Amino acid sequence: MIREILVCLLLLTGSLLMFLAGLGLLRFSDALCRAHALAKASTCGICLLLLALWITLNDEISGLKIFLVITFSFLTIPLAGHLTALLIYRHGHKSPAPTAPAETNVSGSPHGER
Amino acid sequence: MTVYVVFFCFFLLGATAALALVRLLRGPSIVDRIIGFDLVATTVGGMIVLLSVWWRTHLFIEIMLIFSLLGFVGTVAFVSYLHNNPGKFRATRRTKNPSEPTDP
Repeated sequence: MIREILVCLLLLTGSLLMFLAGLGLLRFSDALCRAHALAKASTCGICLLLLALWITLNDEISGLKIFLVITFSFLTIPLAGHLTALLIYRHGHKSPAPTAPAETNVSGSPHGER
Repeated sequence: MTVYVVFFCFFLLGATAALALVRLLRGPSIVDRIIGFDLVATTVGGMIVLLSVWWRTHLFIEIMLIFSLLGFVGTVAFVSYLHNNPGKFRATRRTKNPSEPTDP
């Protein structure tokens, strides 16, 4: 019973974090903010879902493989987010917001001086 | 109780995939489309995990590993291509702002 409640809690938290990643991807204004929202929330959400699967299965071999998948997710998803953020930082400095003119946005944003 | 929670989580992950597809369709720059594709790949991995929790099987873990690997390799391929050809990235940026003068 306690295991079932723990699985439900982990599943709900992980899915809610993934949904928040999607919401941040849709609602944020800049591509850098979108990469930031995706990397953290998506990593934490997928790891919580995998922990729920680990508790559900309750098996040593499956636990080893799930641990491998968790390590792989922790390695790859922030790496992909960092690569996209590096691409935006190096090449995408001329990115005006849709509501503000280009000059005020470049002088006001912290990454606009490059 | 777990079945209803799994249904609700399927609904949440489907909404996440829909939001990422909206961003993939109307993203202003090409990096937004890459990020949306990455989130769709991660969401499909989460759906595989939910299906595996529902059916209580361990056969899908390798499939999930391979799928996340494919999503990561696709993202890295797109990003490294844009790193090597920054002209493509600037061209996609410039089409959004028509008031900016285009140099030949």
